[in-house]
Amino acid sequence: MADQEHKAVLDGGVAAWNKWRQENPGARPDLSFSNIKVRRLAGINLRGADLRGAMLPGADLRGANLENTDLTGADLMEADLRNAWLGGADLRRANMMGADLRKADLTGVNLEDAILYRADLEGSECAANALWLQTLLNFANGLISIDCGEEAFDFDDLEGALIRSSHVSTKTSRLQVDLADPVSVRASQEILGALNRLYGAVSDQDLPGPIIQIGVPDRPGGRAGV
Amino acid sequence: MNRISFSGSSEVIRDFVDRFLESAGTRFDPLQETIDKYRDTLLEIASQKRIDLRQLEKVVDFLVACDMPEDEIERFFSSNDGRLENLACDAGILESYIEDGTIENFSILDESL
Repeated sequence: MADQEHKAVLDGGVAAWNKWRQENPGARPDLSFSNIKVRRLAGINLRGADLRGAMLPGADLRGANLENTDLTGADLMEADLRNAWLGGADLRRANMMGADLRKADLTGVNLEDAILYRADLEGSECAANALWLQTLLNFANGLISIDCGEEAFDFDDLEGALIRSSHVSTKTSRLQVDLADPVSVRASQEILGALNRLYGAVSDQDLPGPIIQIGVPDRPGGRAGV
Repeated sequence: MNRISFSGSSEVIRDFVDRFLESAGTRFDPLQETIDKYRDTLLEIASQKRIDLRQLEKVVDFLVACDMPEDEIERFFSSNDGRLENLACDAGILESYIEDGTIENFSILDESL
């Protein structure tokens, strides 16, 4: 559970919080499983904090420092995370539905089972890479042991391990399924569920963090069907 | 436009698209291996449980194409958890949404290391 002293400092606002962080560089803030009522958190320093299960829906976290922050299972629905620093953050099972992640630094984040429905990831190129890497790691699960914490990740090693599997290789593709606009919630949920279960039948894994985008511009490229 | 996208092994994505997206509205021909090994069983399941044989064939053909071991595929048949029926239902859902235009398009983008 959250440290009540840390919660009290946060209730004083971003300036007071950041000052406290400067004065207590060794402290690891514990705001886990707390309902954070302060929503104006732009520029806050939450680096390395424990925010597991924290409630932050709709929070203004623009430019926040969330590097190596544990946000496992946190509620970040419709949070404004533009230009936030999320490098190395743990976002497993985090709800980022409708979150604005434009130009956020998502280097090395763990997005396993994170909800990204309607999230805007424009300009955060690392997001796709992290998702893709997670996909590979999920496929590789059980075949090889990988220390994800290693800075120098050796893709050659991964490739060598993966190609031993009968139907898995390091050659990856992205499947894009374009839906009508507007589309009913029911239809989109049924389609996502069907994709997830059918694809998962051969991998024993749910789709690792499928990206759902609403109102995206049409882009050329790829191999089209229908 | 609204879009669902995800990444995966190119081979699996290709096998997936062939069976569950590109086959909509067209004749579906399972792999010979699927026919030889599983056609009789699938006919029986389709008859007993009143499931669309075409969708059952797509699901099992996908498992075969992805080199799922035979004993694992047979577990789909022997278990009574309804998983195979649900997957066939999912295949039918995708096909119906393609046919009614809810799924407007699909594409495969190559990604490389």
